[in-house]
Amino acid sequence: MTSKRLLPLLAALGLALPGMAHAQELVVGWAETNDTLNPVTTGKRNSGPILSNIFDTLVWISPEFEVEPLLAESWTVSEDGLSYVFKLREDVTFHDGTPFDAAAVVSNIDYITGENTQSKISLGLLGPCAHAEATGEYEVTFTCDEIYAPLLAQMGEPYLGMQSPAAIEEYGAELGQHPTGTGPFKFVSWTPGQSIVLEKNPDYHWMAASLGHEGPAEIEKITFQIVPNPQSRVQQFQSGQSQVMQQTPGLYWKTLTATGKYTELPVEISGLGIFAPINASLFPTDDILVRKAIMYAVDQKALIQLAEAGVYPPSYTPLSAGMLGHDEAAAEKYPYDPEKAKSLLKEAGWEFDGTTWTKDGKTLSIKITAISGKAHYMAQAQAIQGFLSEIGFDAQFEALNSPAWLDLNIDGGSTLTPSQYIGVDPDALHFWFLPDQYFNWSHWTNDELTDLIYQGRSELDHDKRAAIYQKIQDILLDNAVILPIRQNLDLTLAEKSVTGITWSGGGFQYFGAASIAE
Amino acid sequence: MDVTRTLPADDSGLAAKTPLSVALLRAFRHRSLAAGTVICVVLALLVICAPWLTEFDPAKQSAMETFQPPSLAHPMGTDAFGRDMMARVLYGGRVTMLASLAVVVMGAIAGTVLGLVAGYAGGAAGFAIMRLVDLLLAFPGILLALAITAILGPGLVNGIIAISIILVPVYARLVEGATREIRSLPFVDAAIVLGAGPVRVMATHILPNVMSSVIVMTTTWLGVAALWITALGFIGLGVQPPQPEWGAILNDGQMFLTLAWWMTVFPGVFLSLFIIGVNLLGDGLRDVLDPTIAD
Repeated sequence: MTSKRLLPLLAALGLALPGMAHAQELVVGWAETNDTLNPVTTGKRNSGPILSNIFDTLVWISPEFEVEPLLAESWTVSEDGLSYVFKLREDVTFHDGTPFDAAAVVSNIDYITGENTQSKISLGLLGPCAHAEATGEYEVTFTCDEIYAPLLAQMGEPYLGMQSPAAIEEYGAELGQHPTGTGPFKFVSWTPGQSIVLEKNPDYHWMAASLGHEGPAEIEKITFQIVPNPQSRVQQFQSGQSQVMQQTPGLYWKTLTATGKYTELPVEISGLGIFAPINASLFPTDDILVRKAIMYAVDQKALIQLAEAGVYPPSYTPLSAGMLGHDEAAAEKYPYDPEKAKSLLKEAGWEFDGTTWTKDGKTLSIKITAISGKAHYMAQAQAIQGFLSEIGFDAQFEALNSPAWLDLNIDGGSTLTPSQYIGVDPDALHFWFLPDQYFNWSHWTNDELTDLIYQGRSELDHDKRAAIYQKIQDILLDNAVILPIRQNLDLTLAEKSVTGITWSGGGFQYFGAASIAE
Repeated sequence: MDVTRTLPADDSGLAAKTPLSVALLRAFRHRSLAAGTVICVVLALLVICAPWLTEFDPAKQSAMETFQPPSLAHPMGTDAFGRDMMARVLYGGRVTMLASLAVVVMGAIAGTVLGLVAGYAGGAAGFAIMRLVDLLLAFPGILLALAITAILGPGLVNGIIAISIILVPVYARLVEGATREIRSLPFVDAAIVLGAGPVRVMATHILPNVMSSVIVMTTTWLGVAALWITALGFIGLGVQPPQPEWGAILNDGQMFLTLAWWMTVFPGVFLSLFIIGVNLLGDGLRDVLDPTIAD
């Protein structure tokens, strides 16, 4: 190629590159593929942040779990706690031009509860309050079969984002490819496994007040580039091809934040944190003393150091920090004490010959499992295996693909497995500890606990609820059926030029108030 | 590979020597065979002597020593769990090397037996066996291995079984062809006339004649087997943590490539050396042993 022909090409490149950097266009390095963009049928936590930028919910939850008006201007709860009346904004339209009113909310609830919808998370969030009625053009009333304290907070999760009734009608089963909400960004395109593109909704002017942003979003266009490989995601971010990156691996978070060149956004994902249920139905952890020995034998801080470069705060209780009822004092319950663990095993009748523990001819053998594709679960499981081997457990590790992993844990074939569960209300615990629940992977129930979980749901007084959930955490830890590991954070990094990225309570990244400095 | 195949002009002294020493002499003169042997022997010695070369337990975690670069205490550094990389690479080499050997040996035995039976029996039975073998051959190797481990579950033993199954058709086709050819030779007929049963004919008359091709095939496929074993380990379907294995160690390291090169480079170098070594060895052995290649 001669230099004459090269010159215009270089000039074109030179023009194009700054051009890309100037505009309010954001590329986000995204870690997971999406199952669907329909908030009702998605089963993935990581779809939540994308949905929360396309769809608005009736209420907004701040990262501190304050419930604020969003599509609903105000609301009242009846004396008996059984009905909620929401007064809706009158100036909202969906991206397709359909006006937002009480009938639209009712269509959404009807869609969620519809027999053919296959709703995943949404239906559970409504609890016993899945009946909506338009009691005015802009007034909608939810009726509950029983008192359900978690409702208001859960109304703010993106899985209850309001979809255009016209789109629900038009697209049917294809709705997930045509997300149509009222949010600050409109859907442009989705190339599965590659990218999701959103553009600014120019009519938007109803952002939650606490975000301090009026009018439409500053960002013109967001591209979520799906890069599941952590190494590639980091490289993409470091080379400037993306301005924001989620799920930064621990070691890279440590190195990149140390440079001081980036804005750190440790997005707090509320719920049960990262934890491992301990199977109380399987030998040898059917013995409470063996379970307690496990609790004493694992050092959360060192575990995080081993598995994830020590960048996450440890967790000592099943409820995330900042959630209603979170018990700070639980950290004192099981300090790292391998000697204590050994003495508990002796107390349980196990004998140690220097390498293995035996009792009645059986060895102290447990099975730790993890989902094979998830690097952090694999690392956590291996670290736990290390701690338990240290005190003489025969700790087997098995990596399984996620269907096999689900099956094994539901059948109770695994002793310990690192997992996460997200939720904005402590009632999320019921999925793991009520009898017959899909996620009762501890395979353990207790009448007092069951009663308390139901009480927690129907108690509307904040302080009384907190006391109930403290008691629940005590019971779970005293029976050693759950090994808390760490707080659940989505370590998000952004270039310094990008400001205003925030998240809604529960941990859903929100770009409505973000902007890029010129 | 024809550089060293010709013997020196003055080979009158060889006549008095045994076939074994002729083979050894030829092997020594064959440069790639010599190089391959040296590499394999050195690697084998290193992994056998692992307990004397490093005092560390490859599974012992240490929260205080994560991601240490190579130093005197840890000549190959430490990994994300603070485990000594040298211990992991050496002990992991035992797994990779033994597993690939097990794979080719198992595949060779099963494939040879099938090939012998099919070639000797011929007719409908032989046809049926060979079409089954062709069926296996129709799938790309690694895909078949993945499918088999998906059925059997992850683990080293299952991985070895899976990859052995892939190798079965390779041997079966080779042996079946050779067996059919030998089956029609007069000495086989003579043995049958003298009352030898099929098993005896196959074992004492046909097998020795196909053996050298099988051995050559085994060394050529050893490198491929090692790659497949490490591939399974790399994607997490082979050995399960904390047991070290080169593929699994490479996978541990790949996430930290730009921050902790030693986690990937050392197992990578060892694996490459092993593959190069067995390939050179295989090429050389073929030149030396294969009767179809004339001096």
